[in-house]
Amino acid sequence: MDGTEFDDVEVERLLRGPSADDADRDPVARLLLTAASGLEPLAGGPAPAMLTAMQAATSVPDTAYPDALAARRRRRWVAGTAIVVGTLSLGTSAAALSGSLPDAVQDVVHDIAESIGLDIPDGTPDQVVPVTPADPPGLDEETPGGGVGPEGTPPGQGGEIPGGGVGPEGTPPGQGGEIPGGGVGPEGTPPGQGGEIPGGGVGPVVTPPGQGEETPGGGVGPVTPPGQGSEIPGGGGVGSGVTSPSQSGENPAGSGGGRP
Amino acid sequence: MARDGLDGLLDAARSGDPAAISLIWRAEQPRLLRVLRAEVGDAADDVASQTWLEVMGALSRFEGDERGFRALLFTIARRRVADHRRTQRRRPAVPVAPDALPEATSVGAVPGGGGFEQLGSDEAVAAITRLLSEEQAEVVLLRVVAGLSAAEVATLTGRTEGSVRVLQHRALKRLAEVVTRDGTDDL
Repeated sequence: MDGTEFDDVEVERLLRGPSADDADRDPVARLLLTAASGLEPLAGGPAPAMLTAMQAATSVPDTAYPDALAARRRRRWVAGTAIVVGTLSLGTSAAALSGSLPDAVQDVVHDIAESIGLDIPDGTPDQVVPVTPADPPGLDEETPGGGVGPEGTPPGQGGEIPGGGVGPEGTPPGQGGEIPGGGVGPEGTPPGQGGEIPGGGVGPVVTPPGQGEETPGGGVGPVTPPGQGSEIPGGGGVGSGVTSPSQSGENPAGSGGGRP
Repeated sequence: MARDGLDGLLDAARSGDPAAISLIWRAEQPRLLRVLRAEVGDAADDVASQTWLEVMGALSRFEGDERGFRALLFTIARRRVADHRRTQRRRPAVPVAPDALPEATSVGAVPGGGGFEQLGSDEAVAAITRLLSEEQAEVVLLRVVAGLSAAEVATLTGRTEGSVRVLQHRALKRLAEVVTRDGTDDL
């Protein structure tokens, strides 16, 4: 110890009131002893006015510093209440916003919120939307009168509706896909002589009514080889040149048809 | 004054006995004034009066012995000191000419020079206040002058007892460094 270090025991001894012996040996003890000297009770009492005021103060309830314990309890109660109320308010608000309150309560909240311009769902149960079954295949408005066959499907066997689909209302028999063999031959192929391609060809240049692209049952397959119309199966294919009605799939007799 | 005597006086003072009140005042006023002079200087008497009035108001609910009463006294005194300082901060500062200022002295210097052996009790308290930080000086004075324990000081100042012990340890080390450094002229 170099004179400036104190252990806990020595610190406590000095601060409790050093003895005269300590003061002789230790200048710090001497200073502390001096600071604590002359604390004997005073000979005279307080001034009369002060004594009167002190006496009066003993009968006045102390309101400046209320009981610390009671104040602490009051603060805790207020804080706890605030937490509970805040939590309930937040939970109720969230439930109201999501519409998950009971219907009656939700309606009340909805009405109140509506009056102040807030949009909160009411308690009415959601409308049930009837589920309609999907449209049956083959009745697609865009491909009336013909099913869809895969590319390269032979005439009369195209698609899901072999031999031709269902034509639109008013389509006469024989002009739909129901008549296989109504193929399309290449340009210049005489009727009934469709060469390698079965069926009479149909040219797109002068397409008779009822045999064009928009005509169900006599559709046009621009990519599909003649006689193998896939998008409008059963209908006549597409050739080139001038065609006559007898050279298309309109002919119920199937004037083309078959391989040479 | 015997502790039993002060304990008995407390009961009488609660009922407004002027003799008991006067005796309690005579016993505790010197400690109170000494600490307050270190804290607020010339305002110590006023702050002490306010403290006593408030202590008497709180006496009806006080339950304890002499040490407890002293802790109550200095707790209220500490609040009054804080109020006094707050009031002083709100007052406008009055500029003072440099010539009117007292002669500058070192941190712990005693006017007129000389060592701490020549210090009076109030000067010793003033030296402690100058040499130590505010927290250290408060702890030392409450322990040495007010006669409170470390635990009581901790309760009074709102610190932990360990914190009070650290403060008082550093305070004594600081005082020892000053008073053992080349004589005692720094005091």
